[in-house]
Amino acid sequence: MRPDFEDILINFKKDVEGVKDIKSFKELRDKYLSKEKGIIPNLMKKIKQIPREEKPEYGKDVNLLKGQITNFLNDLEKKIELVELERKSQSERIDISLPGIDFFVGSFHPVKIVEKEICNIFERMGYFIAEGPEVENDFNNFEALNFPDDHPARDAQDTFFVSEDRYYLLRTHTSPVQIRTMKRYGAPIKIIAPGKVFRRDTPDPTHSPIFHQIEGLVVDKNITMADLKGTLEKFARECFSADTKIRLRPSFFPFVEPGAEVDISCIFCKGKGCRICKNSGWIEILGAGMVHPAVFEKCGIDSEKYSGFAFGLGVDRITILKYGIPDIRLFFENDVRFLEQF
Amino acid sequence: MKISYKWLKELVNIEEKPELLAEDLSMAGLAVDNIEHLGYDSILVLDLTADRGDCLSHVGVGREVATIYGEKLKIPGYGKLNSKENDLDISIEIEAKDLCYRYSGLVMEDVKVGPSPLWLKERLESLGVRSINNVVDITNYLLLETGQPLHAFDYDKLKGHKIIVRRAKDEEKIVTLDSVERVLNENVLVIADESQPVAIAGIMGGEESEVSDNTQRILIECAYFNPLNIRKSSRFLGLSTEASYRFERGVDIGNFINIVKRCAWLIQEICGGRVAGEILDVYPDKLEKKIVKLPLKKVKWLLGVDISAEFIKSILDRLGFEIKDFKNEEMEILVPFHRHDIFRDVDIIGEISRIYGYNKLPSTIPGNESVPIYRSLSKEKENLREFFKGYGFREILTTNFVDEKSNKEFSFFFKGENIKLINPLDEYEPFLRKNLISQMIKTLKTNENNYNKNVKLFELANVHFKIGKEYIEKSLFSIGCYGNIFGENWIFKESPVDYFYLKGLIEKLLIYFKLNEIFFDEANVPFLQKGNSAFLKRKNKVVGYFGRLNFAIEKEMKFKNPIFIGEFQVGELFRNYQSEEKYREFSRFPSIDRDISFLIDKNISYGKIESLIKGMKIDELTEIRLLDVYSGKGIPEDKVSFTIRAIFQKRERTLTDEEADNLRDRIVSLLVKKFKINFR
Ligand SMILES: [Zn+2]
Repeated sequence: MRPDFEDILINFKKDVEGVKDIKSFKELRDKYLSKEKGIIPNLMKKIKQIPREEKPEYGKDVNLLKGQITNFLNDLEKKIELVELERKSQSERIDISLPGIDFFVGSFHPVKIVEKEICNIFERMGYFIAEGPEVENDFNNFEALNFPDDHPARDAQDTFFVSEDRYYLLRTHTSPVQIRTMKRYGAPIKIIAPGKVFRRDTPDPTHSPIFHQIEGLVVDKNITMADLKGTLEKFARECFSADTKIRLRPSFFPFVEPGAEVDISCIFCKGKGCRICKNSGWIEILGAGMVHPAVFEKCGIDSEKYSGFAFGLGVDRITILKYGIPDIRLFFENDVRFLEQF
Repeated sequence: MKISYKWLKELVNIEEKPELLAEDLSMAGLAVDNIEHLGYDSILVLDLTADRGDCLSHVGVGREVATIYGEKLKIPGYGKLNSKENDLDISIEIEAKDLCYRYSGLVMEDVKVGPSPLWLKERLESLGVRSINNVVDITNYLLLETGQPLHAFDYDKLKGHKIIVRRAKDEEKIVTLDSVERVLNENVLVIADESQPVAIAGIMGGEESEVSDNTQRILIECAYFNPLNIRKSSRFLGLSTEASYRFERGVDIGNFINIVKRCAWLIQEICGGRVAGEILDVYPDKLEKKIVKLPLKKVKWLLGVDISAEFIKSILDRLGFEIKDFKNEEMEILVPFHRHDIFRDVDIIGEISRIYGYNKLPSTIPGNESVPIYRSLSKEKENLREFFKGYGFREILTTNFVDEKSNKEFSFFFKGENIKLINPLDEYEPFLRKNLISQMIKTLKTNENNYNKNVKLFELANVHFKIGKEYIEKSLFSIGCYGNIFGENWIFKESPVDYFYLKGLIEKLLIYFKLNEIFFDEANVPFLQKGNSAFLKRKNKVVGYFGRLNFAIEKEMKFKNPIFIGEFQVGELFRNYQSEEKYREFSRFPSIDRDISFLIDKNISYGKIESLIKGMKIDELTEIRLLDVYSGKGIPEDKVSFTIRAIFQKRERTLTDEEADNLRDRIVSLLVKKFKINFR
């Protein structure tokens, strides 16, 4: 290679040492390769002034020089890009410990959460959800459910009435949905009916004039009390825990016979006895029984052909048990500090 | 009802300790609430259901115990009564035969009234009954033993020596044993002598005819009164007694003579004296025992388990039922007079099952199918709740009872008549609500008072009103919020909720549910701030409203935050709702944006501009976005500057720039033609 070319190469290598970033790299590249002012293109242009016989040699050397510089620059570019990427990564680092956008999370009311859970358990068993109005009449709420005229529940002390003749009232339980469903659809039936109910109780930690019930009703040929027992056992296991047991105690409700109050083994002490189960190991959660034939007769279902069971459970009470809520009145206060816990 | 364990053991052989006995009784339907241990005795406190009046006595509970354990019940009897020396004059007449079915009485003389022997005092007191004197104590003792209330009159205080069972006269008065003067009416049954009432039948005796230390001759009363009438009178007088409690539930009408004799015998043994006449027994319409037929196959049909006829017979026998006939697998059963709760075969099956043991039944699960039940809008309601929960709203539950003001001033949708409770708990809140919004506002206020920040709430519930004779129930959905959209931090120091926050949510709601017929319009709601609130409409029907609470109300209620609320009619929102979704082909070609900036008169709303452009029905126009709104510096006072972005796209091919320009020009020229606009 011509000595002056050797010098160019030496200078080029010196220049390379000054390259720190993409900007100085581009300056270097322009200095040597830019079409207008670049050293190499200028050498190319100078070929015209070179004597004819030296031209081939000159040309060969220029190309050699260009090749070397170009290769070098290509390698350098790759290195510089890596350096640049690293620099960018460093400069765009953030403090990942800073808090994020503070979105708000909504919530459902705990009573509605439990209501849904219970309905889901029965829906999985093939029950349909049914509903009925909160303002009911005496027939659906009492008469068709076999309540005698003089039953204490019919007193103004216990039931809210909305008409002077006391025929219209706020339903005191979800059982009128049984009547509505049987009258409208006949047998067979397999329903679950959640809803608000009303009783004239002065509010205190365990009473509220407005609360929630879920009614269950199964009517078909060959439905027995053993079916009721098995169904409630399955419900208790799914709603509380796999080891939850139930116990049926004979009780009286006008619209069932036999009638039962149903306890679950205490979910807090597992039946050993504690404050919540009053040391009995059992907690009462629902009322149930075999549909009274008088109820079938009021609804136009043949009570010799069909039998059925019904049960009603208090959603508020189960919610209180599940979450350990000390006072039912919290449900209607709607303080966000309460609501946000569910 | 308190039951003495010791006394019970005199009536039936019991091996079990009180705790175990209590458990066994509970599992047979006689709930034992707790046990009081007295050292010399244990008292079981029973909480009986209303149908089991027959167990309001030691014999009654003893009968149950005997049945549960398969033992024999020993019913206490009486010894020989001293022969009478005199026949004292007495007449008994039942005037009100519908209210008194049977009245038996016996006169005794030479009775020495005084303190009771210790055993009697102790027994009564351990069961919470105060000892009065030996005669009264014996009647009370028999009430606890047999469940039959007895009364003893001072024979010499009965004018004309007459007993007339009749309705009281209006305003008739009697001073009862508790020294209270009671004013009666025609619905109250009394026991009267010739001139005046001497007792309120079945509830409490009169003071004047009471047995006192000077009494020597007495009349023992044993009667059956109409349960419903006693309950009503007891309620009317505000007076409930051990006697009325039992008469209300029905006593054993079949056993009077034995009880009167046992009473006379106990008096003779404890107080001295002797009978002075025959037992008078007025029983005008003798009752027959009810007959119930039980086909045995029905037991298994209902309970799902085989129970032998032998077992059934032994249970029924111990409970006092008689099996009159048993053939063709069917029992004909006579119901004892002490059972007022047995009417038909299932009631007998109830008896069999509770003694057999509910928990011994097998457990099965019915595999039957139901007819499908239609439940309106349940899925939509669920999704509506999910939607607002997803955006940070919390569900509340508020009461259905409101005052008149809440219904009058906040019921935007429904003008029907208020439904008023006849017997409200709180006389200031006697109405069923016709809206949810008044309680939403109250709940926001409660939370603000409790220092809760950034509150967003919703409620889904029913409201009620009346049109003519019809009671109507409607489902409403309410929302309410104040504070910031995001929690305050270094990213969003402030993001206050406002009209556009709610509008944005509702726009997304309409998209989510594909409710594309619903549009926004200026609202006219008295309790909302005008010009800061909107209606949701379908055609001319208002399906909802939302916006800023009226400034005057905010001020009156002392809200510190701006309050934003909304309420929707769920039924109207989802009217003719089709939730089925079908896939629609989307364009796979790029879209082209064209921005248009212009000045326009301030009194022309953006909505008009948008609907004008949409009204052009340009197929390629997929979306219009409002990018900027500006008024103020650099713009004439009566003008506002808008920048809108029109987004064009063709379904079948790529749109050219030229085509997009042409479409933009069409929009521009229409805007120029319709509104006097200046382009920027
Ligand atoms: Zn426990």
